[in-house]
Amino acid sequence: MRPARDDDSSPGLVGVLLLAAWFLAALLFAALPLGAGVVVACVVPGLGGMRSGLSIPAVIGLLVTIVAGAAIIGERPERAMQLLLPSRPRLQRPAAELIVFALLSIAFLAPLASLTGAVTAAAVASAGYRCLEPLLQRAEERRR
Amino acid sequence: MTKRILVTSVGMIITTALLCGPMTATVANATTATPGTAPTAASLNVPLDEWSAADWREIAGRARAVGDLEGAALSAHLAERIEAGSGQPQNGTRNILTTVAKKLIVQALRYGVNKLPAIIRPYASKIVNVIEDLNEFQQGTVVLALTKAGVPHDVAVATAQWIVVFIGL
Repeated sequence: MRPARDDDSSPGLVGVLLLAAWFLAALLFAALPLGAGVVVACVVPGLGGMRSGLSIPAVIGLLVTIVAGAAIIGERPERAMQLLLPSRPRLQRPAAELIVFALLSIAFLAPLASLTGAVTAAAVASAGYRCLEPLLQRAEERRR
Repeated sequence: MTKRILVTSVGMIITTALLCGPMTATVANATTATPGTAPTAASLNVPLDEWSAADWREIAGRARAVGDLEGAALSAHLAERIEAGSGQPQNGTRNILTTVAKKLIVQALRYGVNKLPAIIRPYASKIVNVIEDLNEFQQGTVVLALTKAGVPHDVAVATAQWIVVFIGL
């Protein structure tokens, strides 16, 4: 089915909806490591699990929001550290990593009940993203 | 109680390992990196891989000498990008978590572009390109605007960096 078009330059309503679905699908895919972190925090006993009264769609919405926020933040912590610590280049990246990890742990406090659970979920999510990093680099090099 | 302490300890060990990884990678890169190597300029869609920061500075100086402020600002900005690594990782360097998340979204979007109907594919490709280079676009635009307003180039670059860090999209 071809999407409806108003004229040659407009994608039309169906096109816009398809673009929105495509965007949402990408965000959901990118949120998978965060989801793995939440699952681990819920499954492992003693980590507190999820907050009561939160539905699954609400948690998925929160995770998509977190990943969208992470994409908006992007390289900013690293750049801020480059500006704040210009004479200590070796500390810039670890400091940026630490800030991002702390922010991620805080963000996980929204769906998870305890700080331990949030930190564990952030650690699992970080490990997940780290595992995907070489694949992303390879894909980027292939594209170039 | 003992179980809780055990679980907390495991969490702390994983966290420490994750945080120490980047530090060792940074130290390793610092010892093996060749000074003066420039990253590719592929993100600009121009085959300028061989150009160094010094080349761009020379061009900026010549452009300034003939009164081409825009060209001078752009060339100086490119030199800054090359010197700073332009936020693009060189081979072997690690990205911070948020950068990996952004790249994952971009790759997922790129993969999905081919599944979209041909009629909206051009829009999707443009959206992905804009998302990928958003920070660079913003910084370049702010530098140009400030330079045009009469702000010295070095002040414009420093100001643009802070503007993009804090109030950029």
